[in-house]
Amino acid sequence: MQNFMNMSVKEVIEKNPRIGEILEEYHIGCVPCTVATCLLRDVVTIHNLPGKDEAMLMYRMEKELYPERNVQLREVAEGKEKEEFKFSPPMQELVDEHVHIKQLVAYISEVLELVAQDEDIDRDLLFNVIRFIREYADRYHHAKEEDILFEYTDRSLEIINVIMEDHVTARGHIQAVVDAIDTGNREEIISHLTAYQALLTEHITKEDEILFPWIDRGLTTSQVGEIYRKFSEADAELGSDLPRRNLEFLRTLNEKFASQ
Amino acid sequence: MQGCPGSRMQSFEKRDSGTTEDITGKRPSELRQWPIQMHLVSPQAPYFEKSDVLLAADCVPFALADFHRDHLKGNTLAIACPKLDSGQEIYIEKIRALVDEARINTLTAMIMQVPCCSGLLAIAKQGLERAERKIPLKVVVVSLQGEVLSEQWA
Repeated sequence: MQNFMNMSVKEVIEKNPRIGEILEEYHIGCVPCTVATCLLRDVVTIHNLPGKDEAMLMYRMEKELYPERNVQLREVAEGKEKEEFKFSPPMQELVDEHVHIKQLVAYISEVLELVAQDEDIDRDLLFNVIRFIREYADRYHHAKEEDILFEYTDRSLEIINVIMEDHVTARGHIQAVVDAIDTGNREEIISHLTAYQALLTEHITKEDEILFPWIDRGLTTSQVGEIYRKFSEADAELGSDLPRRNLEFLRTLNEKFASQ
Repeated sequence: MQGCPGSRMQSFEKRDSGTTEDITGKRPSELRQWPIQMHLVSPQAPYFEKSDVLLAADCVPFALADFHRDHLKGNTLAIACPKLDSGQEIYIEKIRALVDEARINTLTAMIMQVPCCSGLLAIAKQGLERAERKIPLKVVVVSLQGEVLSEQWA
């Protein structure tokens, strides 16, 4: 079993697709993940399943991988059940920012309908969307993850690489949208913004439900205080105007599309 | 039995700790400062600067067998009793000063499970609200028999 635990989840699922189905039953959604290079060992740990569920998951995977073995279900001491989880203040700050980013990402569908239908592309609207993504989602939010939070993790972990790779891919899509706006290429605008929407939706779910709780559980009280201070300093350096103008744009989008 | 849960008489059965660890060894104190009583501490004391502060109810260290090792270690300390202490307005101002002037990193309020002890958490929150800086506040609730019932960010 140890060999498989140290393999990437993608490799394990390729060797035996039933493993992907079993993971899905425990809401571990590695099958649709675009990268899926996390080690199976890390995947199991990161999801912090209740003790009995984790033991059963391991038992079922080992049975699937080694049907000839007499696999035993690991006994779990009473009391190791999943506790109600509350984010630390800096982590809650990131989750709250995700709420705004998810709102913008959801509006991309409406924006793209206009791009497809209107005779002239509404460049101002598109550039405001791009500005929100580059300023709020990237400079204001992702920078805190990359420059501050991930410094408190093992950066060589696959899950961190996956998240960083998502950021790079997202930036690529947005640059491609900017280029397509310049040339008036509607298909490219639609294709890259659609891809960005799908990527960010999955990315935020991964962070909110898996990565952030896992990082948070490993932080000491003192580290939480340090991260909170560094986030405040990073926000102060960018100034209050950046979040204000982008959240204001989000409100205008809400008004624009709510009335339709 | 009726009456205030905070002062009601109770006796606890002696429990087997289930371990012989450290029974014969002496443990060093993790206290790194003096004074510790909230009326006596000075937010200007250098040891508070940028520290992680533990604001413990008076009864907490008696209830928790491993208070020094598990909670005090690495932190600065202030103790108070929200039920019996007078002049608690001073406590609120001292917490504000710890946040704004000593620029402490975090504040952890450790309280007993009895209802009156939540007054210490209220003091901590008021001090933080009064401060210009914002810092994380953690709350640890301890049972009368020395178990940590919850440990959560406020």
